[in-house]
Amino acid sequence: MGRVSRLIQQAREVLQIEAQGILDLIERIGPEFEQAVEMILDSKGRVIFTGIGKSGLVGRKIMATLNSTGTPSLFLHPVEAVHGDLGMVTADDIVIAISNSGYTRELVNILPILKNLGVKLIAFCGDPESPLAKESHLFINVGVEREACPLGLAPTTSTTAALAMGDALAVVLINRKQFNRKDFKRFHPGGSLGDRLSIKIKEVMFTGDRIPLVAIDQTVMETIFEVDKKKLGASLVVDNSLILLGIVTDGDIRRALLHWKDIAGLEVAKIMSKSPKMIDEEKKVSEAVTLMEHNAISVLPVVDKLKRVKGIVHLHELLGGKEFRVNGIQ
Amino acid sequence: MESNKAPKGLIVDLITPLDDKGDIDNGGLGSLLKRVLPYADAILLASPQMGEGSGLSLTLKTELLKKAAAFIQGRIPIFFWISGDSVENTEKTLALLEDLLKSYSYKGEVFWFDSPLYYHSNRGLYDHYQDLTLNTKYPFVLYNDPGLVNLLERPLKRCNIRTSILKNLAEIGKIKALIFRGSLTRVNNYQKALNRRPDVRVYDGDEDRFLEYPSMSGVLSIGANIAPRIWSNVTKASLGMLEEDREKGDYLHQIWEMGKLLKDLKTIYNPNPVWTIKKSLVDLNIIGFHACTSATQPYYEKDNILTGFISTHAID
Repeated sequence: MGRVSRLIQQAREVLQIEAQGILDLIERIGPEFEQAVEMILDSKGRVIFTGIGKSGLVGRKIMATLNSTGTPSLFLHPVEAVHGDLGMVTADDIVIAISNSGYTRELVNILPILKNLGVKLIAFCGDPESPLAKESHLFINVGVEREACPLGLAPTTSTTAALAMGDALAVVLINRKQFNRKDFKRFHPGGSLGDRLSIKIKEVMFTGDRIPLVAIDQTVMETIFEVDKKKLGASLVVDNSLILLGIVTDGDIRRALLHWKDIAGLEVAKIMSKSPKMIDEEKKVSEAVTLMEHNAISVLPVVDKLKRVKGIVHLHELLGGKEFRVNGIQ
Repeated sequence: MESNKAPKGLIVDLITPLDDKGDIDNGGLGSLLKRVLPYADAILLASPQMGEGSGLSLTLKTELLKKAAAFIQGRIPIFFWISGDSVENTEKTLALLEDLLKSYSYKGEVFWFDSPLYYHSNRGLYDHYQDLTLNTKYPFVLYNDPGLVNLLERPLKRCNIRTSILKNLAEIGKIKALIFRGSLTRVNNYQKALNRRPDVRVYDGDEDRFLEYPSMSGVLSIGANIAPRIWSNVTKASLGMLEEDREKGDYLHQIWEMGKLLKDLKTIYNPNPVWTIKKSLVDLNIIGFHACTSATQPYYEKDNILTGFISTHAID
């Protein structure tokens, strides 16, 4: 009983010390933190973390957090850096170097090279007088007053503090970038969304009667009926062999009305977009989503190698909350 | 000369070598400092514990500072305990020592080491330090040791500096460090109180605490009188100052063994550290006498286990 109590007491002391280490950071956060955030937001490059041992592991975790929340990030091992990995660093990048002491030899050795490359350097470090702090453009003080492990055998409070500061940075960046749920989903293709995005388009596209289709010689009015009936905001225009010739969207119809006033009897060829974006039915859903987002379109014709229409997909259906209505059981 | 920052690392709570007439053992002091200086980041003189400061006359204190300063010659900072049994005596000690350093134009760093609750209550402490710091050009290290205050057997007297008082004291620029003994909760509160002064160091005054959960400022060590090299290695390792050595295959094992050795050592000298350590230093021919002040109780034992332990483990 006594031994267990001592164990629990010790565990509580460790948690108390580590909690205090984080609490101490609160008052210490200052203008240099804001400058670091602005530096990252203004950067055209990536945020590259570097560090040795457990500081390196902390760097990898912060890197992963930044990547999953929309800030491109990499990890550079200081030893591998001088054996070729420095090639990953560009002048547009920001390097965040993590070392509690700020004297870690491998890290200090690459600082002049990094500065020579023109990168901006931020130190996550506990000693403002250390070479790392002095060589960096910004010094973020993650120093702690007490470690929770005897004899410096393993860093404890100091790595916890660095990790917490990294989380603070990531969260502030999320808010400043107005990162939203959709963005988060894009960077988390694991789970159900991952399943969705990794399957082939032909397995989820609308097919058969669900495809809004008109022939090239049909009128605009007939096209409007088709768009309205199929409720995808667009209709594909094809020839007799179902070869895709164009697409007519709600926007095309609106613009035609403004231009010609009376469009009911016009041939659809007059108002259709003649070079529609399209995708092969064998491609993955993720590629369709990327194509639609990059071109700011919400529907995408699906074709085979001969450009014959095989189906159509809608962005909202691909990213929406509902599960896919798989072909045949729509 | 006002230092910007107190040193980080190992502060040796030096014994005061006395000869059999009760004067400073000059040869012993020199030998001891020669042994300890290469490993220490600061030396504490005339402390209430190892330095037997409460049993040293003002003349002896003056003599001790004069001789130690002549030997140290500014190589590392000197901490000197100035607390007397009253405000007046503390001020008197400070004035005398200040004059001494001035007369010798001492160029090294000196910190006045003061245990405020030894002679003053929490009430009015801020004003007291405002006055005290005006009378000197040297910075201060505060010593919070409830055990020391309890020795005075003054009922109802608080034995810890109140956190709110410490927060006020932190506004005084000449206060550069705190040496702390007490609970983890209290040290956390003290740390919060000092948050606005990141330049103020908080050292562990308790070796056991440091060996378990090291303060990143450093430690006040008793055992470093006899094992300065090992204490230096353990302190540096604990403060993350030996990162390059970590790559050596048996580094962690060595540090672990050193830590264990220091704990074992402490169990031997802990019952009466001054007498036991002085006796061993005599056995090792480092000091000439194991004379103590009347404030230190003699501690007789058949064989000095500590000396045997030091020899067995080849401690230097």
